[in-house]
Amino acid sequence: MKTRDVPQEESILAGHQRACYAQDENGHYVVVGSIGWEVEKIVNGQANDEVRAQIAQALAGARRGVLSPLAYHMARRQMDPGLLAAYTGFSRWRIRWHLRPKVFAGLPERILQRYADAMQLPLDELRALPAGDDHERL
Amino acid sequence: MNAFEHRHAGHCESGTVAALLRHRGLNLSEPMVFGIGGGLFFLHLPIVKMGGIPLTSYRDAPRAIMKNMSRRLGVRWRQHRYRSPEAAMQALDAFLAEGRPVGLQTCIYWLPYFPVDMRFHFNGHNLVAYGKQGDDYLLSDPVVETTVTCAADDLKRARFAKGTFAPRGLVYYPEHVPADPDLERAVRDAIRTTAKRMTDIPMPFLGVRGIRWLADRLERWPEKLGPEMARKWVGSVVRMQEEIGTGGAGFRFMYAAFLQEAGQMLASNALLEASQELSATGDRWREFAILGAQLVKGRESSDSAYRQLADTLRACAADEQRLFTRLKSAV
Repeated sequence: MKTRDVPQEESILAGHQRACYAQDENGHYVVVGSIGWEVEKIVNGQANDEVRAQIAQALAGARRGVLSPLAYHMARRQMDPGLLAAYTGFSRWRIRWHLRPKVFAGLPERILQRYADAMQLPLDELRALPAGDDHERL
Repeated sequence: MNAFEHRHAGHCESGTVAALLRHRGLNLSEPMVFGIGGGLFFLHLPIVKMGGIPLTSYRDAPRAIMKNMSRRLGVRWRQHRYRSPEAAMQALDAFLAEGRPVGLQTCIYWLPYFPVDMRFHFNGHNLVAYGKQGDDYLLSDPVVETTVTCAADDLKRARFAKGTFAPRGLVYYPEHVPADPDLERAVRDAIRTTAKRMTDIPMPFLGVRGIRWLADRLERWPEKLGPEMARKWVGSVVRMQEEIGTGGAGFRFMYAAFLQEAGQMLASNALLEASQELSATGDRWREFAILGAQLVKGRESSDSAYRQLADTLRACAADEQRLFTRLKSAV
């Protein structure tokens, strides 16, 4: 790749730059900052769409009352029961059990606190769902 | 101790190692560290899945670059892991107080200076901590263009992320840095090993064979997985090549930069030519990424699009087969 061909396109990098190795006019390799590449935007967008879809699905389930708020917060943290198990020390099986609304509603504070710490959320937020659909992911 | 010099790098591991060694007086470029560390590789492992998607990698395993380059140059490192996050942060403060920049293993997800869309649970991210101001750490993250600051709580969380490849607070710094290492011998040995690994491992999913293996499988993804899943898998390959910090074309451009530097050092035309060839192969890999992205976007998802993708991969495989076979005897 030549330095003039390093893509400078619309970006996911939010003002950051990515270091690309490219050849200058004398053929020497140098580092050139790229502010973005459409290819990267497309494949990164695909991965983030997947995350957003999982969050939306968990939120809809929680609103319908078939899933507990834990399902929504877990999706929001891009976690699955396996990863959340590693963070909390609970078993995956136990976490799946806590995804039931009634079970979750009856959990004592010390259990909820472990989820809150693992996901870096205030306890009140963990118990609740966001008001709208345009909630923050992080 | 002198001020820490930040340099923008293509990849976190080679960038961190190069920065720490430079600070200790061994001035090697990132491509040199990457090349001597034998960083270039290819593998596609259908049985090892991450989030249900098979693992594709354009480089050797995490920390292999550091291990191999250190063995070849005689660099020795001190490293510590911690059970307690508090102890790990205190130890970090002590290193910084004595003016010692250190490498840290972290999880990208918990580092707030990355844009939201880049934050995934990936535990293998390396960076340098070089100072502290109040409650904020001064970091030199090689894949970011400038130095950044990070609050203590966030850094602690990133150092004690859980899951696959959990960092467990890993901190490392060079203990012994040779004043005048035998670079020429290290470069020859590294190129020979990389060339052998790319062409000689008799397993279908490693090296050049792995590229062909991916091509054959990718061609059948639409019928095997259905169009939606197939697009997801193609997207993941392209992300591993371009998005995760490779310097472009899945480390091929960085390795071409290494071959150029090595060619100048050893006054070897064969290496300089190999660098040119790998640059052209890198351009081909970029074509693969463009085709893959078009497919992901749904502009083109017929069987012929998958065939074209597979054929591009086969052309890359043929290029690299030729190149690395020749490199084995060139050094």
